[in-house]
Amino acid sequence: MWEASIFLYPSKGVPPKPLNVSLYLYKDRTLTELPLLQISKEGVRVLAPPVKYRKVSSTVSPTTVLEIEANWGYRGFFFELTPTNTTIIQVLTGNITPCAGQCFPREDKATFYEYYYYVNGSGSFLISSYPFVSSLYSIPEIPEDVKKPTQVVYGKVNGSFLIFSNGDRIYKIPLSNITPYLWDNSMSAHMVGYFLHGGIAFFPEIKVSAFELPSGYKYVKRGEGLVIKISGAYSLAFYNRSRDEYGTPCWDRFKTIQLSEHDLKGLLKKPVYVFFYNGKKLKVFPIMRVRMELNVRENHHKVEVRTLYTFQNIAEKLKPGNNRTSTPYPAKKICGTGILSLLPLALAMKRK
Amino acid sequence: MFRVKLFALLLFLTLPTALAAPSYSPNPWGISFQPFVLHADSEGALIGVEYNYHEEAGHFSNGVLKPVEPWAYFIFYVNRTGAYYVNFMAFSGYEFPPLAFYNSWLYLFLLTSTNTSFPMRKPIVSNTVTVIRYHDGIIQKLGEVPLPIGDNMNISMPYFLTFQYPTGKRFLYKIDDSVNLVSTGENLRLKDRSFFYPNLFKNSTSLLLVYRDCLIPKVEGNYVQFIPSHYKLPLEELSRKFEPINRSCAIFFDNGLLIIPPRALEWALPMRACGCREEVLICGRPVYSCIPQRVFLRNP
Repeated sequence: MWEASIFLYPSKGVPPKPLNVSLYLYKDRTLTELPLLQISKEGVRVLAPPVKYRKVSSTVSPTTVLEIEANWGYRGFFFELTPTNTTIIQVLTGNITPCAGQCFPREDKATFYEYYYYVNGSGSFLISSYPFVSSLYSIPEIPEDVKKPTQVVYGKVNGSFLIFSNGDRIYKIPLSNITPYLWDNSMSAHMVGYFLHGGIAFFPEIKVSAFELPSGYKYVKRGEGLVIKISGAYSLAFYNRSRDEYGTPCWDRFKTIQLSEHDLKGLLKKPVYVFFYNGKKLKVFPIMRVRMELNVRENHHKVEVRTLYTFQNIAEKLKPGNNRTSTPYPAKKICGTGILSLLPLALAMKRK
Repeated sequence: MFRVKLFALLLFLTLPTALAAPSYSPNPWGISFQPFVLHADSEGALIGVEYNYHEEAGHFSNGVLKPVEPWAYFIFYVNRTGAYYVNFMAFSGYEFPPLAFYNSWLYLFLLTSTNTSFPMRKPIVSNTVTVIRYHDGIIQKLGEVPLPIGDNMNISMPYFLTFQYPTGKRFLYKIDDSVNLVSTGENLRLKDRSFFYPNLFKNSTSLLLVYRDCLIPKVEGNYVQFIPSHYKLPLEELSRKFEPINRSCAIFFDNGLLIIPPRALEWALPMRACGCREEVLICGRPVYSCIPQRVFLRNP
């Protein structure tokens, strides 16, 4: 019981008007009032008509015999693409889980996973990947030409072109070539790149997060089999990198869309891409795919339904040598990378 | 001196008429309401409206009304066609209508009264248990059994037991498309007594119970957005219906939203002889977004 009191204050002496207690239904852009009760001097009166009970007979009993526990709602995934101060792209992935009580779905730190990619004219390469928590301790040896310090260049959209410029070199890339590879056209405004020999490697510096809206599921039991239909909707949000008032980097949401499950499945067919442009030709390399599957566990008389979201790396692993198969880099020795030269990199990659 | 005499005369004349006007209660009284979601699925929602009757707390209350008879509810059912009145849950000592999930039905044990008549001034005391069940848009009434005042109830599906503690006659009922008396005695016991609420609150993220999973309003310019959804409602239209917006709550319902107004629905009637107190202020503990702060202390 929460504490509640009503305070009375003297005023003009007008008796209060009858008051309605109502619910409000918002559908098809119209707000409908559903009156429940009316309170007046006489007391409380019920305004809603009495419910009509369905006749009890064995035929109308539900078809499901199994107890179904559908853990559906507020579960989802997110990923972030961030440039580093070397030519390495950092990708952070994780799952979103519903939290107990009444709050927003949150990113589950236990599922955080980091991927480090390198892109050049010949392809996209996975340098390493590991759980986020242990990132400081598990960075493997990185080829020296890959971790060469580089200045990040931000792309500018001008008309139907994306322009990268560092004063010396200017790359002008038609947007129509890029947008088919993006989850949303608005992502093209947040491109970031590294100037490499013979071209520019670029990707959207964004965070994408998606989670289920708890709009419902349906299940049907047919004979021995169980058919589960989830008629769900998703909230998909796009964030770009910005800084807060203290200058700390943070993610700023610039677009949110609501998707049906079917639409999201269609979107997930598209992997996450990175790009390389050499002035004439645009090369597109997929790096990662988000997979979504329904996990049904049946034990005894209970069925548990939940959607699982996983990330799959689809880029080639970086082996010594394959980062310069077709680039005009001079061959360099990979060995001799000391701990001291690795430390600044590790610190740069370490998130707050 | 003449003025004082005139004043005394006027006072003498007006006093009896002022006292005669409130025929029902000598003290100020008020009623407050709190709608909440009891259960919702894709076909419909069971909504409760908590009903508190307030009266002046003692001679020196300074115009503060305190709830005197809490834990009474109106139960409604909302589906695509509208809102319907299910029953009135009279004062019984239960903070929530006892409920149980069994064979994919939600069973509600409504502690009702056979004396309910409207308009109702004060919540009445329960004397009956009405058992109804609900699943995916199907709502059925299974039966009614008497529950004498002061008696208690235990549930272990498909059985429930009414008893007087520590001694007294006990009645065991079985629920099987209807409510049937199985046996009576003084030593009847339910082996696996279910504790209604914690079972529900623990494992069920898909069930919308008492403001769990509720969408929180966020005012942006001239619009109210219920987060996390993408329905944008005009602020002006909504604020004409209820205030304050930020204490309301919504659930997804029938390709739209079902908006539950905040607890600000308080109503007090001036019953003082002067008839000059009716302005109601919302007070008490601030209710963040729309979660009523509840503690489950009572072990049924």
